[in-house]
Amino acid sequence: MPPSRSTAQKRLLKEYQQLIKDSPPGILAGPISEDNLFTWECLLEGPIDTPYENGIFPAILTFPKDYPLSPPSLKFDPPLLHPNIYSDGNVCISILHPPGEDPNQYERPEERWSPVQSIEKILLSIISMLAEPNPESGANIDACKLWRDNREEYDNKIRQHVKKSLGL
Amino acid sequence: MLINRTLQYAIGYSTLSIGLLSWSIYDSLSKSFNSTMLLVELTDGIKLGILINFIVFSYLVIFKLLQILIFGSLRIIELEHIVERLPLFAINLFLNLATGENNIILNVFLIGMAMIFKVFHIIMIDRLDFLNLVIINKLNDGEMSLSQVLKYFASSINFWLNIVFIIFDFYIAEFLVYDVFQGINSISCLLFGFQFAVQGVEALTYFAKLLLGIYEIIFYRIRKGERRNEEEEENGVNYDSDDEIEIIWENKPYYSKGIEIISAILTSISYMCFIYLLTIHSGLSLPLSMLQGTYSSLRKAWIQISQLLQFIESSKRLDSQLLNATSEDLINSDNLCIICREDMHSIEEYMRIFKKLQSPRKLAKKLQCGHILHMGCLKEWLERSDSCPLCRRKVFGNDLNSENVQVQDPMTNAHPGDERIPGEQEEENNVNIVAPGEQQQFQRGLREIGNSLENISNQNNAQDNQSTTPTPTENTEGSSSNQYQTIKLPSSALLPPDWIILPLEKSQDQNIDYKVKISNYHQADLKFINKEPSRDIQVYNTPERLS
Repeated sequence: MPPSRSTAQKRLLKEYQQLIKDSPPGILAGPISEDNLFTWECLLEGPIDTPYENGIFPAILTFPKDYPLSPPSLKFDPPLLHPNIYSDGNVCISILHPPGEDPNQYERPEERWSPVQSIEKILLSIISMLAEPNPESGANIDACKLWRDNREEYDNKIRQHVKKSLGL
Repeated sequence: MLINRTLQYAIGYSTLSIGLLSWSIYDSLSKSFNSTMLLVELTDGIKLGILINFIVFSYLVIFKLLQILIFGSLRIIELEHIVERLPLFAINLFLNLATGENNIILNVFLIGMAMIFKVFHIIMIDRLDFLNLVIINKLNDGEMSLSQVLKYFASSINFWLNIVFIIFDFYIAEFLVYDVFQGINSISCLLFGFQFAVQGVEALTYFAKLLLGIYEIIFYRIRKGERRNEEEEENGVNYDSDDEIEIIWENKPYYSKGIEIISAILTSISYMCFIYLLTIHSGLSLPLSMLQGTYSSLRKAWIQISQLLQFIESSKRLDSQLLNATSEDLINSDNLCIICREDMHSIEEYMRIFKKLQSPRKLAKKLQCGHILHMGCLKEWLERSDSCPLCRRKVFGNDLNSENVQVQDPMTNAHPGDERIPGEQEEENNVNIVAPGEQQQFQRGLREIGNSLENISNQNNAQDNQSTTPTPTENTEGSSSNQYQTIKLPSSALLPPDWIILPLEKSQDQNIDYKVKISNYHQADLKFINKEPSRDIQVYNTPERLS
């Protein structure tokens, strides 16, 4: 158990206030309840000119007790078809990986989590990840294959998901 | 609807299991004359399958009953953790079976027991984490007395369960391992006993950490709060709310690391004992699957120890080696600590504004790379990483060696040039990404280029004093001995503020990767020597004058 408890809560509160004050377009995020600042609900808008366009994707951000020293984790709920999103909805993106060396020597330490990041930046990188998947570090092999080999069907599947999520 | 369906399946499965078993027993009874024969019949062919199915079924029932009895309904996160961890554990258990034991019933029995224990461990730890969070939230919200906290823990069934589990784990482990020497059942029991021992060590580790947390809550949050109230009454001093987070147990990381080290060592010891038992003592075969575990547990212990040493070292150096940031430094940078997002003050300023001494955790410390952070925040970050959170330069250690981009830059003020080109006067030489270092391999090839470049730059340097602000470190000493300069910076290029970034242009030429614009009048060619992971850059062409 880390020593920095109220630091985490204070910082989360600050970031929340900051997000309320001027939230970037396409992002809506806040704690699920005021009692527990460590679980946030987010709504992310699909980036324009991608099959995710017009979609609004709910996700859960879970913060560790020693945030901002350790990264939060983000899970799309319901899961989203994307090469870098696991089939259970968890997102695999290098800035959300804990600091230090990658055991697989795959990512450079510079790409990993640092307290400089903020919730806003995380969510923006997630949105840009939606627009530009990184097939090299795939989390969902099926989605990777589909994305690489049959882009049309991939796009179609996502459009259908978007339609379904909008209740059309 | 969903619940109904699961319930339907459950009922269907249980009637099927019980029905099959009763048929099997009935059939066996009708065929056998005594109890031994009954047993043989029951474990023969399809009836064995029925029996195993019934064991699985009864485990499921026991699990469900115990779960409802002890934990109630599970939270989603607990289910997720179970789904996450159980498969790996199950694979491990099945690997244990690969040692060639044939007693299927015993194996199924042991697997079921191990799984149930594992699941309960997972749930228990989640519950205790949750309890911890609740108490901490309450503490942050307002007052909570010592007795209340203790009552919370004492009334939590999970707290006592943790203790019970530890005892059970070790007891079962001992029982199973002891079995081996009785000759009742050899390897399977030993393997499972070993699983329980490792699990017991895990539970023990968690319990130790829990106690550490409780200790911290009692002595560093409640007691200190009380003490402070007394002080306030006595002196009439008013503390602002910011001081509240300073009630932090500074040495806690040492203890928790210590616990982790002990746990890792215990795990490796149990692995070693196990291998000893199997190979030497019992003269049985050596299970290869265990070697990996032994290695990884030893490695873990070693990593933990070296991390602790590193942490002790760096926190020692934190105070003495890093400068306190001055008010000027803070004005020049954003005076926000990037970790906690709160203001930083220099010592004098804090004194002036708040009329009291700054706590050491709130000291603004300046790193070698120029970034400023609260000392307390920095310390906590260093437990996890040894580099600056902003630019990833190593906080301690040989700065230049630790980074990984190299730019060959022959422009220095090394030797006075022979030819002077008159037209260069108004040129600004902005290449100040210059630092010392040598790279033998480029020296010969670059000699000519260097000479001509050097001449140009020398002149520029002579003309232009204000433009060159070389990197904070040792620009001068390196230049006298060797004219080829190396700079190294992290490849994702969060540059220190006083460095200058030169514009690059992708080149059409195959031999050159980029053209770099050194100034308004000069450009040079750049080539990446190797692309990943350290992007070594070589200037390998003479800067050409642009028209």
